[in-house]
Amino acid sequence: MRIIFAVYKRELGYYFRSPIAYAVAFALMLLLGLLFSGSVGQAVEFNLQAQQFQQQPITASQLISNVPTVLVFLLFLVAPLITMRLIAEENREGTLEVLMTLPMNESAFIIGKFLAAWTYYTIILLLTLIYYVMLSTISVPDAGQAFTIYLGAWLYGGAVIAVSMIWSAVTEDQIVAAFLGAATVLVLYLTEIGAFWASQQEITAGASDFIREIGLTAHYHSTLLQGIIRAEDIVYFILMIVGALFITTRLVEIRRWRA
Amino acid sequence: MTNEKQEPLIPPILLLGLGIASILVAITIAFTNSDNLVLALIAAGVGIGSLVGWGFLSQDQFSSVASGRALRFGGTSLLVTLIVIVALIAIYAGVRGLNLRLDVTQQENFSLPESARELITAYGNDPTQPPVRILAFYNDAASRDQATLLFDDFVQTSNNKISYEFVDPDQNPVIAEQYEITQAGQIAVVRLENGQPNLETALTVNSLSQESLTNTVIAVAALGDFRLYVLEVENGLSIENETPSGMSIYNQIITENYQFTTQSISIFDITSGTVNLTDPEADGIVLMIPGGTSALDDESLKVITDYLDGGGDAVIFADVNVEPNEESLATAPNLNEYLARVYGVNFTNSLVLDDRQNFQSLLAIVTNSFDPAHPVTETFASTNNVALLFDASHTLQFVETPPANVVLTTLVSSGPDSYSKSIDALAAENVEQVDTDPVGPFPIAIAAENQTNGSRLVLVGASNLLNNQSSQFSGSGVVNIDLSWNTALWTAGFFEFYENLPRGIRRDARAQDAPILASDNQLTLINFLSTLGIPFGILLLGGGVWFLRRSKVKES
Repeated sequence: MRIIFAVYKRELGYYFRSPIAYAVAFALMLLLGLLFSGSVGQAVEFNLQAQQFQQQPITASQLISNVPTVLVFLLFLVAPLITMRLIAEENREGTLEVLMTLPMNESAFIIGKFLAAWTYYTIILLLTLIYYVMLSTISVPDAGQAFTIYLGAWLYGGAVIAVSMIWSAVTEDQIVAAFLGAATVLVLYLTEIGAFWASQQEITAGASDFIREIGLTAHYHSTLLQGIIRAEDIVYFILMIVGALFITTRLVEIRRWRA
Repeated sequence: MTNEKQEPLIPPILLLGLGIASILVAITIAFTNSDNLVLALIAAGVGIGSLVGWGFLSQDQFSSVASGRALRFGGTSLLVTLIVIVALIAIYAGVRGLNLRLDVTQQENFSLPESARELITAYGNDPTQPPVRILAFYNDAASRDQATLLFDDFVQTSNNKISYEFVDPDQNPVIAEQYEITQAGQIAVVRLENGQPNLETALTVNSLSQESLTNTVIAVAALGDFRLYVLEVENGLSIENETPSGMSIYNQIITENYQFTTQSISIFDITSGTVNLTDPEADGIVLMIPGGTSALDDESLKVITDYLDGGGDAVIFADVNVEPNEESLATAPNLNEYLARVYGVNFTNSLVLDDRQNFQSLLAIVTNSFDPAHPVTETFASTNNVALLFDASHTLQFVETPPANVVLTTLVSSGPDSYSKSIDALAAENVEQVDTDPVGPFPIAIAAENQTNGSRLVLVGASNLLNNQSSQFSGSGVVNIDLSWNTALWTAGFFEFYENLPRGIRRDARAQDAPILASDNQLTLINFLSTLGIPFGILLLGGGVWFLRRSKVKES
């Protein structure tokens, strides 16, 4: 545990000392801020007209999911940026071999790095709670739905970071790791489309459901984002993290064995 | 001089992954979809090509695999990884099988609110109520995931009396057509009889909502057998007639919205026993006389009066016969003598005119004088800007001493400035009001209920309320057609049948339903904080950290 914490502290310190981490957070918050203020402005304008024409108004519950939805989509770019250097850099600079000579096992090393990356993402996610607070000043958002939205976005982020870490362990090239990580996350994001395509084909009935269940969106967009907690969704994300970290550990072990 | 090994353009491991993935895709396609064999061959080609490429680019790895070294050491690792992945999938499948779900929304978007829960529980505990099935016509899995939670709640709350299934309308167009589904997302609720859905009882809900679904379930479970028999009379309106003078729209509404069974019948159908007006299986039967310009012969009239004397229910809409010295069916002496004697009310041979409340003609009177307490008219009496528009209406009159066992209610009256003239006077083109003309308001629709035998009768002074032309005005506050079907619903006992049913469950208003509204100052503050304050604050912090680190590096 001490080793995990030591690796975690070292990595987290790196994030907060690195201007790139702030630049990523700045770009993300600027984009999300523009989206939020734009959608609030539009909603207020629409509601003023809706009062006159007796239309159904836009409520805070409809708006509350906008920012987390975009955030989890952008994770296909952000997560690889966060994780690309985690192991690839150690490999390239040859520090991995040195670290592996220390009295610690690979899993502690990987978990520590993962937790640091996840903490960085968690801080960004917590920053977006400011939009919930702002929304609360002008309307009444559904607190239960907000809880599941953020819980889901947090777990989703953890899973995506863990998956992206695999590629950082596979290759020494950070750009290649980022590219492959982005591609993997995007594929996992778009499985819903694959499932829809499969449902239109005359292949086995369960194939469509199987493809869909592999993907990330089926476990977030149709349930947690709407205010529904399903045990299988929570377990999916946790298992995704566990599985990805296990594979990453195996890859690091293989490298050590090769060396 | 160092002998540096050059990094290949494509990482060999990528080619290995691509090769294995492509071969897996090829095998999957080949086993699951034989039509796409070309695609399988392409995938296999890509897979083999990638593996060959990997062998060339990473000869060390290839020779390691070929010699068995990688399989001995790497193979163990791969095996352990596979075992772990399979274990993780098994855990996921186990948890998925538990089907644990929770709706945590404050608005209870995916679970039954308390009011609906009470109703569904009562329905589930009532052994006389039949089971129902919900068929959700969804073509996407996301909608299914969301609806499952609510449907499960229905199933559990009703003690498994409600079941549900998802039907993809694109894959099952025949089933969708059977339930008259026009688009994905609609939900049908159908009563189960001997385990099989009775399609005639199916009702449709357009979107997922606890309130509308609860109301529909209760309505389908309690669906009564109500019948409307429309008597075929000379120049009377017909339920099959789709022209403006027909009553096909009335027929459509009463069959689709109220699930009445309707049929045009003749007196012969009654006497021959083809139609049983006293069928004990029915929950309510109404005989309608939709106008008619000729009097019924005494024999035919006796069939009707026998039916009414036996406790039968009827609605009579009067037509106008402008031929001098002739009577319409409703104003004929034989019928009116019976009505006056048994029910204490009868039609007169006079028409109502109104020079204040009319539409283009003195005879086309407009009135909004409704009885506020009677089930037929209470809705109209409590609604602003609704009225009846008559083409020409006979007046009705009460006898001086009505039978003691009959309760009479004037449902609709003409305006206070109305007056009446006999058909003969009108035939002489004498429409202007004179001192001798009786002055209104006149009753123009009356409900009578015989408390001895339970017979219900509604008399309406004009048959144009029934016709298709009337229904075209319904959007502009003219409630002709609404009043017409209310007369049938009341006489059939439809309202009482559903009285104990939980109709009109409405969504409780919640704080979360409040619209987003903000002042200009609030919007400005939100814009500032979200687009400038927060992002540039982070950037400033990052700049500060960079500057401090730079200073430290310089110092060191």
